[in-house]
Amino acid sequence: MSTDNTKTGGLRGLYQKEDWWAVWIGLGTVIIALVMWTFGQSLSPITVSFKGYENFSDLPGILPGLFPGVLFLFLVMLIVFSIAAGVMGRSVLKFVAGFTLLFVLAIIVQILGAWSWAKTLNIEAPVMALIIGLVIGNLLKIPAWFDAAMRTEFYVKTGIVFMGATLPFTLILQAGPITLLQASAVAVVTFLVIYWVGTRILKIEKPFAATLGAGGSICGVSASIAIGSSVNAKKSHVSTSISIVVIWATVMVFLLPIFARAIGLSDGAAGALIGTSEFADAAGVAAAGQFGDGALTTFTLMKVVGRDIFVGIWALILAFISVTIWERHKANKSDGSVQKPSASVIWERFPKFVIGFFIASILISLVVLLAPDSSTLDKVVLAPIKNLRNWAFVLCFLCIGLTTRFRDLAEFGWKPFAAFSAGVVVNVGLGILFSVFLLNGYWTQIGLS
Amino acid sequence: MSDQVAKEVCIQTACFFLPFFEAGEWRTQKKSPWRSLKNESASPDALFALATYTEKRIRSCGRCMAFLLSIHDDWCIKVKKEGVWMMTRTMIYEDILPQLKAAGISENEYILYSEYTRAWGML
Repeated sequence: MSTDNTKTGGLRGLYQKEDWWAVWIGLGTVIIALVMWTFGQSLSPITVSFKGYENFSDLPGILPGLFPGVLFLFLVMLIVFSIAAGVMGRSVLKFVAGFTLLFVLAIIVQILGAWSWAKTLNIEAPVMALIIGLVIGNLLKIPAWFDAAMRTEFYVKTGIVFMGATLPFTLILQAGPITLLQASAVAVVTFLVIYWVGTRILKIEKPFAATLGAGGSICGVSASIAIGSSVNAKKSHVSTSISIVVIWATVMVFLLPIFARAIGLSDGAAGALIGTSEFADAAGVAAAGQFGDGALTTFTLMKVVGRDIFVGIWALILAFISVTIWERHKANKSDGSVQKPSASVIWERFPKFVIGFFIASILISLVVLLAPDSSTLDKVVLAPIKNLRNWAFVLCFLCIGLTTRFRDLAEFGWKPFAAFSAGVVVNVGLGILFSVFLLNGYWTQIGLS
Repeated sequence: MSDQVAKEVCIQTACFFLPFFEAGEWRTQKKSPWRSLKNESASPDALFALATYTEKRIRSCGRCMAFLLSIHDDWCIKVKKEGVWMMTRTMIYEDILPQLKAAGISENEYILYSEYTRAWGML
């Protein structure tokens, strides 16, 4: 009886869950930045930007000046993330070793991403990080101690909380209704297509089809896990769903930006398309990050506000459907694969880092509204936070590449892949319909806000 | 393990709740005697019936718990006022259910919850 399998809900969840740590780190940074701003100071000593250069021969003149800032940033991030990893029960020593190597790779990525040749080919930091990560992760054997620092979701969630600080709350409220309309319409239709193709045409089990449908329509791996848990899907089904999500999410990191550029979409519309049609938050940030800040803004609105926050409601609805419809005929049989649904699932499944995203947005918006002079806020508070956000995202992009080891994914048959792919076609089609044809102007405008 | 196919992209926590005060009534849209006992239906006989029901339930919980411990030794056990929670990450529920059925333990004796978490570092 040694395994600690207790759920980390309640107060323990506040310090044992990655989501909450993203909130503490993100909000803590925003609050520290605001306090420093009040006293005429700034977080800029721990921010580092790599300016563009033409040739590698220019680097000796650029890098030495950046070294103190890089070292300071590394130490701060190392300490903060190591504390989080330690409290969450991970090996701190392994994390420190892994994070150090990850950070070195992030510096290399930033240097290569600032190269003018790379910019000409649109291979900026996110794509560079993905490519380098995919090559290393799939060709070399990653040692276990390095794996300890591969916290893709942790880095992206922290980055998204930072993102909240840079998004005015009024913009979130203004874009909310359209965001919800577009995201909900696409998510519901995509889910139903995957579920219908899966159960009616390909005859796969209903809980399995629901798990696949959630992965393809709501929020990727997180949704597969949430819905798989709610409907008591088998482990092999959840693993298959996760593996298919990872494959399609990785493909879409490259395909969606190529498509958006090919048809000349604005940053705002490209972000909305990616937010509608990409499957995972981290992969979506990597795709939207290939465009400007406007794309990250509309992506975050669509994906985080429009889709992620509803995963708990989906989980509750599907748990009820599972018990009352799918498994009704098993009422008096000894199967046991039905769980008792409870409304508390809405809170249990709610992505808590979104709370940090909203609070950061509200906090900065209130300061802008109430402070007698907030003219320096952009430069002193928001610019450093954006810089830290970009570092968090680069770490995330590297992790996506390094951990997407195709040989490690679960093996699966063609049926679940076909059902999911049918949803992909509909999902992307609807994303294009909304973002390119119906609401292009709207998203372009939001991206410029 | 019945799912050799699945690599460790996720971890399953199989959680068995052994309720003290109900026996699958929620499944059949009925009410446990503990929930149906009202002021107007309270009587010595109703309470004796409830005692019999409860004793049967607790014994059933004990039997189920003993069986789960006999087939696997890595459980996290918590006793709450509503019943016993038994959780494991080292045996999947798909492997446990057939053994429960073969031992004659009906699904009314427990409520199964499965909880998945992504493997470390997954996208």
